[in-house]
Amino acid sequence: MRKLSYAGLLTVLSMLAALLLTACGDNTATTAPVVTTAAAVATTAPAAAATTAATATTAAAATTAATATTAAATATTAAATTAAGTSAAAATTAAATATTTAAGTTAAASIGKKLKVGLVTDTGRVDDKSFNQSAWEGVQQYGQAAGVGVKYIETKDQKDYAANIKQFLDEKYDVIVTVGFLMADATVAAAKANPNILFVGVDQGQDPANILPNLVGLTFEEDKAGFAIGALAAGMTQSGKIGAVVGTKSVPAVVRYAEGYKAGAAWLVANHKDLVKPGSVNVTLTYHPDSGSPFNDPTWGAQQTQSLIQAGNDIIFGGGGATGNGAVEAGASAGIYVIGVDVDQYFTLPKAAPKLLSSATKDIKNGVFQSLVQASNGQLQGGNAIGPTGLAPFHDTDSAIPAALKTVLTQLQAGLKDGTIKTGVTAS
Amino acid sequence: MAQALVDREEKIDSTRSVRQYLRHTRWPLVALALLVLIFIWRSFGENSQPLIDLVSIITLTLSFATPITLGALSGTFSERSGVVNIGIEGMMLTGAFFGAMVGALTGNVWLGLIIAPFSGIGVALIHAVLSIYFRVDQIISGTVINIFAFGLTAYLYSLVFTSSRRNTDSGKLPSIEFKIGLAPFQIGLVSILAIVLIFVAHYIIFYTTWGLRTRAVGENPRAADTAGVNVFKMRYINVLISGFLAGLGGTYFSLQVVGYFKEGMTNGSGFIALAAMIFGKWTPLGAWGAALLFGFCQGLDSALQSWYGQIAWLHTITQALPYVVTIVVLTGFVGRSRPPAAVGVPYVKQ
Amino acid sequence: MTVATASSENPALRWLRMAARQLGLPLLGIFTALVVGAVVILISGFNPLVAYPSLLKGAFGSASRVNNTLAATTPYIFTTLAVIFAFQAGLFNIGAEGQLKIGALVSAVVGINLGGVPPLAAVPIALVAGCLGGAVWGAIPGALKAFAGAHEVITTIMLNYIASFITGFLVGADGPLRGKNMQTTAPISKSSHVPTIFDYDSAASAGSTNTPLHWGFIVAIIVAVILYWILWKTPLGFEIRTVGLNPSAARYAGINVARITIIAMAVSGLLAGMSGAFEVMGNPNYNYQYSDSLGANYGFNSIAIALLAKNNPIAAIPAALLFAALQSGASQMQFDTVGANGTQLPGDLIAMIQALVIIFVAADQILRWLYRMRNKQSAQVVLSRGWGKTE
Repeated sequence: MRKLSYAGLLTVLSMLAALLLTACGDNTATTAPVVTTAAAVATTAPAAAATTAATATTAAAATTAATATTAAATATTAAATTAAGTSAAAATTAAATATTTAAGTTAAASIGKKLKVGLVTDTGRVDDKSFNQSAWEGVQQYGQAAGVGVKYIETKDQKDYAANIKQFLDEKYDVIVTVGFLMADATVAAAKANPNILFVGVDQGQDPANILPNLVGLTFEEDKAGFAIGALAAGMTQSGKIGAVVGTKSVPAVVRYAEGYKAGAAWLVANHKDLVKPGSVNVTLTYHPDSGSPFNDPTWGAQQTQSLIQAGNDIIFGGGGATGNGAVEAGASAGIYVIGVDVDQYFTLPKAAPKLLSSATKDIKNGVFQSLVQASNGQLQGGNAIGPTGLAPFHDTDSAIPAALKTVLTQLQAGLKDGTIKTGVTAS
Repeated sequence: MAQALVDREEKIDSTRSVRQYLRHTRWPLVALALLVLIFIWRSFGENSQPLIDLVSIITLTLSFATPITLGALSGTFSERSGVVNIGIEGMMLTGAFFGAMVGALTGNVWLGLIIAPFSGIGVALIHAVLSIYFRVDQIISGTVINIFAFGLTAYLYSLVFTSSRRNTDSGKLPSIEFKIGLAPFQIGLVSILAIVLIFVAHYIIFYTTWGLRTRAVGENPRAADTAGVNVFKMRYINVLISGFLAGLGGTYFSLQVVGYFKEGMTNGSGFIALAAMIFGKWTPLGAWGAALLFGFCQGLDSALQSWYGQIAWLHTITQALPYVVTIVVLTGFVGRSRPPAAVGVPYVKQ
Repeated sequence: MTVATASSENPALRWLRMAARQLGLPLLGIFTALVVGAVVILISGFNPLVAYPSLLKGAFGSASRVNNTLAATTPYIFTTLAVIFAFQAGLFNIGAEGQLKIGALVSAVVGINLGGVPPLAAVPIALVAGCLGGAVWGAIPGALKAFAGAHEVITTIMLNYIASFITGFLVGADGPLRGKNMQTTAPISKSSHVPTIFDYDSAASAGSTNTPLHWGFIVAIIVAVILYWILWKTPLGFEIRTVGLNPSAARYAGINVARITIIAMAVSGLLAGMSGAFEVMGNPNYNYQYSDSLGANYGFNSIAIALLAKNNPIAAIPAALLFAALQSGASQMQFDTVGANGTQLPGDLIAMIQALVIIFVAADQILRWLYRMRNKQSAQVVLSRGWGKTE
């Protein structure tokens, strides 16, 4: 009986040794040893197991054998993948799709040097239906247009920002896109240390006194988009109460949206009182408490929306990752008008579409894509790049919005653009 | 011995009275008192709309209390039979995920509602086998369950949804809405189920042979065994019931409130439920009372925000209040909570 | 059969055999978890022989990776020691996360105000302050248990929440301690920085921005040895372990159980506080300021690591290293392991492997059952007591 535990021990040790061998040193050189050691394990283990006829061990050994053979089959491709950084297979599939997408998108821009692009998310996933997703789509668009493979790393913990950026540095990526204000410090540090690598920081305003030539901070004037939807909400409310459920107060972009929303509502009341049915508008801004995950808390967003509806609010603006999505969907399913954020959420939140008035948008996807194209052509300039913000189309709610309000909104957007109308929001 | 135990239990049952009922429902009464105070306070403010505010708070309280109620019920069943369950959080998270996944993949939210409790049972089975068969320390087993469930749901979510860009929307369960005067009142299906289950659980635990046996196994398994009760069977089934209820509790997040799954979305409710269970002295009605208090504090916090905007210190106090109260209750200043005598002790048949 | 041979073996060999047995089961547990993980990876459509090596490469593939992994290990060692110390007294401290946060915040507040003090004084002052903060936060559940019988599992969980509300308020958007950015305080003074072991800046210019390993790592190892010494070589340690094994017997033997309970929880809190203090003062990834994201999930992970270490302070070091390595290798694994259509292996796999490791190690009965091993007669150590036996 005791023999068996030693057999187990031996298996552990040889497995660990095999792994250690592979990890250190060059990939191509050590792939073969892994297979052989694993195979060796597979042959010795059943022998030991056979004597005692322990089913569990045999099963375990069988798995090892199975994985060993799989490795043999895929060894070459795997080595190619890691050694070249981007796999040849990935590149060809990307190239195959490139023709269709490039034709479809407005980006007929010519791409110079093909760059390897990696993206590090803020603590969130690349399918968050919000800013991480938009940035990733921008990177993917570039990948398809340029015919190169692109990769992402999802950050799990704030302290890992630097390590995740380093991941791409170690793999010799040319451009690293980091998403989110919270990663600003880590991005600046990495850019300083690696002057030959280009960085694109989404939502990361750069200090004008300390511009780095290889770091572009993509920022957006969210207050203008917020201002426009605030005016829209003020023109649409029946109860005179409108609310916003947004991510944390400590992120400037969020504050700009929310304060812009409030200011926009006040502007409409002050300048076009005839368009405001209740005569006055009370705006409630609900920021996520800083504890937990402010951008990843749809339950909280939905609950706050419920609370706001109970208090008589009849239009809700939801802003801030999954938290805002929770608010928008909860409002729409409760039957009130809602306003989305960042992208035209008519497409990303189909359930909320029928009640979605509009979305306060900032075109992260295009911003990222354009930056990458500039980088390809060697035209990327360090410093701040201000991306476009705006008001998404009204879609299904178009007929519900009075023509007079639409006219005012058009004028308002023009005014915001040429600077004749100021939002008065200064959050940074 | 067994007879003495049975006698004792019967005595408790027969002396059940108004006084005991009040003891069970003390916390809802405290919550009610607080509610009245808020109500009076709000009535003097500008824009006062007392009825709407009152109904609003009740709606929010019932909603917020739902997962805590189901979690506490889950814990009550498990611990009454003598198995500590601090894995409620993990079981809830599993229920939330599988409910949402099935809902999203089949497009049928009802199927999700049916599957979720059974996924809770699946995780509970691990807990049961570990703590009853393998006699692993029950708190450790629960801790492991929590870590495992978090990893499992996040991994599966990522695997099934993130890379494939599949539709993540599971749809939402219906809720009942009507107006009391001008005030809208709303209660979700899971919340209604939770309230029904409280009374069902109360009946089962205190008025059926099954309940008597469960309590006997939790108080003195040796005596119960002597009296012919199958201790292992009782514990296994009660832990599975616990998983069922926790899994159902998870659907509050994914199927009632949000409509899709998000990693870690139960956000510690399982632990609050655990506190509510102890708070409620291992009785369903008491647990409900405690859950309502927790729910009330969260609802109040939420309502205060929408009335007055975010006042940081007030926000912190209303948030922390139930946790502080729990500690005070545990210290026995407000009445000692006595757990089932054999909870946490693996049973070895002789 | 085995019993007979065991008694006739010479002591040295027996000791070796015991050591092998002690190590063997955890290693077998880790191996089994990895095998199960490999099956999961395979079923998910990825290649485990790409995933595992790149996991290892991510954790130890280069000098700076090792550096990064060891830096991630440091706080885990402290919090695991905290859990272990309480475990030895029969107390289940789930509150390491809260104690860490309080300790970190206190050391940051003190560190901010130590501008004019020379480093030789400033570092110990800020560190001690952080330790005290954690110790006080840890002593609360200890006292509640000793004097009122409130079970520490619930009180520590509640205190975690309370700690997070308090810190969240203090460094929140309108909080009195808020620094420039969200959820952080202002940076501490330069004089209270704990230096990194390798030169942080020069490494950065060479292309690797990441050598965050600070002297706290060395301190952690020393503290682990000290704890071992306290627990097994001093009267206090004896009392603590006696209380842990059987409080009633300990009381009967004249040990002041209440005192030991409070001391054990306070020391446990102190260690967790030290963990937080070192992260603030030493880890460049937190920019030398308190950050409210500090310590997230450290409480539960540390319990897991303590189980893996079988409650041995020295074993806590490799166990913490394993956990940290899995986590810091995860991004490389996600990066390298590409399935069909360019999908990447979710990094969350790591959490599952970690849980499997603990399941197999904490419940080695499963392993014995799985590998048909002889069941050791010595009963397993009960690490905690359910609420049922609260006195």
